[in-house]
Amino acid sequence: MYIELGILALFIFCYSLVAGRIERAAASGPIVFVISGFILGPVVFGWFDGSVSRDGIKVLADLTLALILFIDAANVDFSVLKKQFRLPSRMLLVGLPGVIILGALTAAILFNRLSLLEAAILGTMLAATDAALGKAVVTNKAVPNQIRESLNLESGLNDGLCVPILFLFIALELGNVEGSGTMHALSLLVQELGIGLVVGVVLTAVGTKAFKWCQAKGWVTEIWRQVIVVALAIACFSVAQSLHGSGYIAAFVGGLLFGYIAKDATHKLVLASEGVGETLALMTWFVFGAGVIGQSFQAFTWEMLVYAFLSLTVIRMLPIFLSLSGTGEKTASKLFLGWFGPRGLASIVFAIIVLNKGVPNAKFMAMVVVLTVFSSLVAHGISANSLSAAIGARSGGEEEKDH
Amino acid sequence: MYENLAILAAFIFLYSLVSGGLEKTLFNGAVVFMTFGLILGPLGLGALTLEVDAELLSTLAELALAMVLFTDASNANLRELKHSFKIPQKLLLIGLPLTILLGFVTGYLLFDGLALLEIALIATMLAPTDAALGKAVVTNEAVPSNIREGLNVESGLNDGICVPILFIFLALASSTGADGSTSMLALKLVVEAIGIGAAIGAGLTFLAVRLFPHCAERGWVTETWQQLSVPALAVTCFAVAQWLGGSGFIACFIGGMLYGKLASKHKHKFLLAAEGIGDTLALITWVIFGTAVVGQSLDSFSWQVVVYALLSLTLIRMLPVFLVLKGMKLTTEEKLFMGWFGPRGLASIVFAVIVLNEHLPGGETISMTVVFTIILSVIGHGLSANPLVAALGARLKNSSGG
Repeated sequence: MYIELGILALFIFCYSLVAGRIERAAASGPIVFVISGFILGPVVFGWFDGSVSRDGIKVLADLTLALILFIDAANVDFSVLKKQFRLPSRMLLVGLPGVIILGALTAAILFNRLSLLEAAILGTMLAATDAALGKAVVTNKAVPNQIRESLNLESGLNDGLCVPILFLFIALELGNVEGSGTMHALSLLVQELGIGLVVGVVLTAVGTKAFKWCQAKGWVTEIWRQVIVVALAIACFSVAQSLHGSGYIAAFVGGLLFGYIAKDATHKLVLASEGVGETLALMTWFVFGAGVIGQSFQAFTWEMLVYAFLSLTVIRMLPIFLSLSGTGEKTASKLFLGWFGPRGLASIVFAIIVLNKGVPNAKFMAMVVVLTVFSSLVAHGISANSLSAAIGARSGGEEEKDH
Repeated sequence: MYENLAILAAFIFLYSLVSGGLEKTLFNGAVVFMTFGLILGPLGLGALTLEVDAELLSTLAELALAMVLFTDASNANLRELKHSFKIPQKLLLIGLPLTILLGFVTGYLLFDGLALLEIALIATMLAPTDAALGKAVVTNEAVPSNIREGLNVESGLNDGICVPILFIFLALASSTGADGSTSMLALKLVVEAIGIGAAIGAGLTFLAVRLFPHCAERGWVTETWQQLSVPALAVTCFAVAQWLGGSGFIACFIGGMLYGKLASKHKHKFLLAAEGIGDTLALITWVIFGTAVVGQSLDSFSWQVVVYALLSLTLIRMLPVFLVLKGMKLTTEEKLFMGWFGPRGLASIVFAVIVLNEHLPGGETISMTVVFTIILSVIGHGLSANPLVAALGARLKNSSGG
């Protein structure tokens, strides 16, 4: 117990010292933590006990995703969204469904054991991109502003949009398997999403109002101000879950509403909670490296490797590329936007959800997700800086030509 | 699982909104949290079902104390004291041992069934005071600043000083054979634990404070992550010391003192996140205390427990404090005031958890006494803080005016 805690805390401390340096380097934070988790875990050194990891990772990943959905949604700047509506709306409304469909078709062709709905579940799990992993690109000043904003908005919103789609496919699949009928499954789904939506909206609306009122009265202290957003996000998530609604929807909707209502005041509040969110995320990556990656190696097959490769390339890049046709963007920009859709935490948590719901072949799909996420960590981590520089040079050069 | 989490998160959210408002009322945080836990716990509505003996929860309480020890010790900057260090020095070096001694004598007279070492344990567990509970007094401008500083420094440091004493008694009480060799062995282990803890705390903090500016100069530290360096350092001190067989609390206490001394410039900004995490953990610990511990103990206390608790809050602390402050140019009211405002809190709770885990023969009586004293203190000090502060302020005004 203390060994695990000590290693994790020491790691987080060291990372907090060099976070800025690492974000600028080729290796992103998550990959550092996954690899360290792997090395310290049962496969190599064995300092990090696998049994603690397996129980811990579910709660940890759950809370992390809830917090991240909330924070990312709260950070969505609606004024930027209005200005830069063109690219992200196409990517989300046309590109995302395309990615899911293409991912499902590819899975259905490659993996004979999966039913069509299971293939659709797999396609959805891997359609969500991770804002934190894309940070190296999104914060890189060399990349043209429009591309950065588009990627940021897309990755902040698409995991939330994938949740209801994922739940729809899971409900349909379970309705088929258990023979309880599609309608029953769908009504359960609507109930789950509806409760999540209501809880997220109500808690956030009341909470934000109460916050403004208490703030005006001077009741909020400096120390407790840091806790507010974290507590609200986790309250949205866990209240919705305990009422049998979807906590992820509640956190996502709550975050959107919070960002919309509180506007400028949000940034400071959210900043404090980002530290907690990022720490939780990196802890999840560490445990992922220690508890999941090591034990999965034997289960990987070459079909999975092919799927992971396609998922990162054709399955995402083609629909995104097509969705952007006619926007006047350069081919290089379109390809860049297509490539930088790193898969991360959302996909992992989705895999855990699918495992817990008892979908047949869930273990198999989880393996595919793990392999794809791991490949994405490596490939996107390595390519982030060099490709950003390349596109920066290209567009910078052209801008100079224009002048 | 989700129900408990939902209730806790909603409660933490609500508390964070009104934290500043509550500090001005009769109800301090601990009363609110404990009552909340009691009402929602199995004794009340039964909505919250937390189990104390679960490893996770005792770890939580330990981490809360570790974080609080670290931040309190770093905030108690001895060089920046406006007034002399004399008052807290006397309180800590003479008052604290006297309090433990008097607590021991009282316990010896009251409890028949307990071994001497177990009585010594009770006395030590109830000697440290809680800085967070005394906040209403310490931050109130009506109280003279030398009294406030004295109380603040005392409560920030006395829990750390009590840790090694507690461990010595605990080690002696656990080695039930009572022949010389096992006692020596136990003592050796304690010395080792304290030594390792101190070395780890000092070593890690020293390295950390040296490393930080080095990295900050090069622009390696980001805004988001800079908040996490102190909380991570505190947990590292605690967990690494525990892992190597040392005392994590000593490590945090020593680490915090060193941090406060070395990083005095921008200390406040860096400590803020650690204080937020520590306070939240402490809040959760109090809720657990209200839910699981208070309920279980309420039906099994005896008159001796009640008498001891009453004496512990009054005579056992107030007499030594009063005697120690002789010749410090304080009025009788001020001395009594300082003696009364030694609320017992988080440290005593965590000590109770540690002692319970040792399964001593008198463990139940020990924890019952501690629990009851804490409850009395939370209510008594919470209710009396504002009226007594006002009374003291008015009296001082009169005397200075007349």
